[in-house]
Amino acid sequence: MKSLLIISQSTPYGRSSAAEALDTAMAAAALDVPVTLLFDGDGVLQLLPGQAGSELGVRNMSQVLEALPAFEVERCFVAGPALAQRSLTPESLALPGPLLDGKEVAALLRTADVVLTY
Amino acid sequence: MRFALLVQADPAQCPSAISALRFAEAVATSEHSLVGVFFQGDGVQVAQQFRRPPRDESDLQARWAKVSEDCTLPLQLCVASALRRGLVDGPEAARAGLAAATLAPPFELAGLATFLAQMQSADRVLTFGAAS
Repeated sequence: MKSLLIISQSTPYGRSSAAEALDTAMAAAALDVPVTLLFDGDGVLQLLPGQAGSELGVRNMSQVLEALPAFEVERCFVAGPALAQRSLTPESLALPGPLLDGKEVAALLRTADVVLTY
Repeated sequence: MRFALLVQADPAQCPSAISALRFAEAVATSEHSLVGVFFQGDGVQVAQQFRRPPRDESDLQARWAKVSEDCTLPLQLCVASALRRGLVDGPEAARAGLAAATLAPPFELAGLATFLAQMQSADRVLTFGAAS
């Protein structure tokens, strides 16, 4: 079984990419595909607490993120450099997994069989 | 080499939608092969049968249909992405009581499991992404 790395790098509500990344991750986990989710770039904005997506008439992304372990998407990482670039600190976010530095992100990319970006 | 393609790019907005098609056409005339082409997100818009591209632009939908015919290859749309953009096939239109199907043949609706299976059997998976 090939392993899958999904890079979620879009803002939570700017377009549908963030939701599609999570849909794909959950579908992969349901089919026992070894899946890893990495939040990078603007994707780290999905991790800001206090979101009220339902007031926009769309899915609340933070609720979906909280549900990831229930869908057996257990390997989640966050690209540390993306936080610093946006003046965010780890304490200001609801982190679904460990922070990685640039070298660790590169290692993650090298070990995945397939990489999909959203 | 066996390729699986994931097309996320909107044909009306992103040049990578054309790149995906050109790549598929090149594979079709090479010793390589395609295991599948899957459209997700705004990429599904290419299958809208009422699309009317300007006359001085290439008709991507017709060119995809030719690739599909030449390679006996299904062209599949993520059903969730398609439905939220008003792309329905005959059975779905009937079920929802809609006036007409909007999906152009040979495009068809499929689940993400279809793409994940194509990913497993391909040597390489290529993503043609949306503009950020």
